[in-house]
Amino acid sequence: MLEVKNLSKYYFKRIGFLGKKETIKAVDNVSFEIEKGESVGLVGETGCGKSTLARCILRIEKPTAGEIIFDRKNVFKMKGKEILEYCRSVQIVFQNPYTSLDPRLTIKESLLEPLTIHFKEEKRNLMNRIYELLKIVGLEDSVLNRYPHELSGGQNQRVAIARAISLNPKLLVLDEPTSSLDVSVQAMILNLLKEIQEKLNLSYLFISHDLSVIKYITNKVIVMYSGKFVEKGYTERVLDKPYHPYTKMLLEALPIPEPKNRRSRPINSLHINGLGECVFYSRCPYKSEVCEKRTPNLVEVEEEHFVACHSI
Amino acid sequence: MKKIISGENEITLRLLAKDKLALFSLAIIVLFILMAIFAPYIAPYPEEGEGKPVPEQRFIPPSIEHPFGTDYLGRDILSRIIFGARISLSVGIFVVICAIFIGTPLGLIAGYYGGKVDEILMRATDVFLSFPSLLFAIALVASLGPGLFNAMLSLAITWWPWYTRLARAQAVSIKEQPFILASKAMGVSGIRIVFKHILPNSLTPIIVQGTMDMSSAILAEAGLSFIGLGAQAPSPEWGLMVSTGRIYLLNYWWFPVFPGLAIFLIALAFNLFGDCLRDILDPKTRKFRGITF
Amino acid sequence: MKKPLIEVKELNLKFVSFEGIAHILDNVSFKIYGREIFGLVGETGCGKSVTALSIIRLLPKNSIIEGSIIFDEKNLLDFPEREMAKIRGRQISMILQDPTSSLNPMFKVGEQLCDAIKSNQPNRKDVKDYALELLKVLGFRESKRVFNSFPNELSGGMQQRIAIAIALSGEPKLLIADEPTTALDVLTQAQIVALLKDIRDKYGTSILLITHNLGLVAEVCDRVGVMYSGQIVETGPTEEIFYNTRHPYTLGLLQALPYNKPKDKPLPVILGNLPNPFNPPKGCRFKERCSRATKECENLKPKPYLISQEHSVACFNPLGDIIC
Repeated sequence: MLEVKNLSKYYFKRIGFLGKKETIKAVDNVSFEIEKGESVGLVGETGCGKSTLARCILRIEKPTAGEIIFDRKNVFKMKGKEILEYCRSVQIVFQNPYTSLDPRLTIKESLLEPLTIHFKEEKRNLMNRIYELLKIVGLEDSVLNRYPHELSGGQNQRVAIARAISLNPKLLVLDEPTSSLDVSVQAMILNLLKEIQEKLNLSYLFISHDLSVIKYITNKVIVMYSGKFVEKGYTERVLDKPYHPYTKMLLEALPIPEPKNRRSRPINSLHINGLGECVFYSRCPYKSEVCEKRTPNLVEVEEEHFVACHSI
Repeated sequence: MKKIISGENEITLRLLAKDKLALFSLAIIVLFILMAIFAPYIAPYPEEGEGKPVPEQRFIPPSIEHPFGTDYLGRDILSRIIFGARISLSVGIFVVICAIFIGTPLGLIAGYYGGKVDEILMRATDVFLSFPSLLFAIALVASLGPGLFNAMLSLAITWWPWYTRLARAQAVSIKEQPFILASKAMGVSGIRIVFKHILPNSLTPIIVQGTMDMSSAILAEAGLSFIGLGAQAPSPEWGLMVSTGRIYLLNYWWFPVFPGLAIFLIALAFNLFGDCLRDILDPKTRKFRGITF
Repeated sequence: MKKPLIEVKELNLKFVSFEGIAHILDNVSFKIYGREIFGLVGETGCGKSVTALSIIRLLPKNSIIEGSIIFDEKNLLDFPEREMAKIRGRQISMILQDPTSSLNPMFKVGEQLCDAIKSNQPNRKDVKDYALELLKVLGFRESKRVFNSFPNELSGGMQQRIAIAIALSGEPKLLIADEPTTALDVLTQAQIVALLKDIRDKYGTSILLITHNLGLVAEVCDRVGVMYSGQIVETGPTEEIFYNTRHPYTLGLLQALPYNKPKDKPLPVILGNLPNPFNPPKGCRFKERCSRATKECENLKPKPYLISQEHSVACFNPLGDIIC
């Protein structure tokens, strides 16, 4: 349904007043697909380019190279009506539920805005749609006249989800939707997301750095490091049998709620030294000469399981 | 068991004291506004207030009939000050509102769109801001010809760039907020985002600035009138009254002093009120009132 | 019995504001022993950070505090502010969630570290050497280069390690870490966690770790206190809490974790909302969200009692009784 082909987004920064222009490769030549009804996880640390990638998919930013195909149409060559239609099809839910709603608008106004823009219908019909949405996300009608700061984080996140699905999207980009929430609220939101995915046959691009959440909610996963994909495949296989040293590190670092299985962790592997062609060279414990000279490409090591590393 | 009551009363009192100041300054402002609206009804000698000379009662010192005394044409100074409030307030309101209406949208647009639009708009405001504003206003009035309306106009022209800067800074910081990105993703148009989402969220500092600028505008206009470029006789403009009265300061002190006091009082009130408004509206200082966990 | 390093006894805290009186802490009691990492877990607004602030006495001015905090056989709440200032940094120090805001961006990190050492150990001569040594202990290889950098030149994890170095500069007996890893990436998180353990092993510092991350608790804490709505509902050794859970709220938290849960089933959730701190319910504060609530819970406040030697729970119908 959505196909990202060799997408790159570079930023140019001048160092000093007359200094050289430096290129920052936020996203570097990445490709992937999302099928209908599928949830794809995108894992990586702050600054690895996952948010930039999400912004490109939402048409908030224009990529430097590559293309995004949605329902066989190139997203960046769309015009007029097609753009609006695409906006309806792809929606986003952000991490912080308090800042993703306009603090000066009531919940009703926030929910009404996308509807009035996209559906030129009577207000009564739109209000019916809003009541329907509230029922789906499990909120009471009484929240409508309140402001975001009067609601809890979980309630706000439900409103944000309601707004995102109000336009009948096909793909939801979820940018760490639960990482600023408490454990019990996170569980409710995850349940809700699963429920509406089944009900509305949605596709998810789920961005997170919490691997246990990724494992619970996605069926495919992509591991991203410094603008490149280093491993991708089916979630179960990738997380149970990771090949890339970075994926392994992430799994090791995940705190496990089982005090009996405590592990001692190496701190030193986190030191950064040396620069090589492979993006992970500086932190890799298994690096060799090849890694310094040649960029590893994504290779299929098992069925539908791709890894970009020389050492396998 | 030990109890530490570290000044819960103190906090309440401090907040209240702040609020009291706000109430006090607001009361003065409201008083002046009422004075301006009902000038013909409350002024003891409305005709004199509008400028009718009464030669037989020149320079009467403050008394029961004339609480603030009379001027060199025998007009009751209290009545003239009451009528003067009309001029001063309308000048303040006109100048500030014009400046906000011109400056804010330009600033928001510059901040939101960035790039060339930003560059052009902000360099234009820089040109305006690189002149000392009062000198610039004087030059403008001089070329337009002296008069109250021309003075107001030229003040408005020199005032708006400040709001452009303020609004731009607001827009730049707000446009990166997730709720703006979400609106963009929903296909909301740029102009709608600017005026529906960014404008309401950046109003607070603009309103505060506007309130404080009321006093500067009134002062600047009084200054222009003082040097003869603003209101012309027989207008009961305060600056003009101070100007004509200043040569009589030693013999008939009440003539320049009372209009001067009026200017001082209204300017102070607007300044104080703006200050309190900022504290009350700023979420950082307001947080004090609620609880933070 | 071992003597605790610090003992918080029946701490009650109220905030006075225009909206009324908020009951923030209700009879909070716990002990931390020497060389121990004590975890205080709970959700947003449960009062865990405020507990830490009460210990170092940095509460907002509109608070009323009752109870006692015994440290070194003295009640910290009795100390005048000047005495307390001597304790902060030297005996008890604190690291905060956001490292970027706890360092001054205008000064080199080395200077800030040296300043902290000078004020916490005024008799020390070899301040710079000691600073470099501290940086080495905290895992900086190029300690000289780090010494001369400004905070914005360092990554979030490095800044947090500097903040820890500053907190350790007075060789405190108790280190309070308030969500020290929440703002950091997974890998850096792991590093900071390992570091905390290291510090405990090397210096024998006790650590009060405040967090909402149960995984983190399982990884590092020796003992845990679970907080809900200003009360400690369950305390005990980490393994006891995780494998012999007695309070329904603790169980709810543990079950809500998505770790290794079957994909096809929804996660078990705790329904309902937190009680209003301005008007806390009579009886048990968890009763409205609890599946085991009975009439007793309606009116009586459950008091914590010992279930085993170390494990105490505040509940009339604790779990496990039926299973046993």
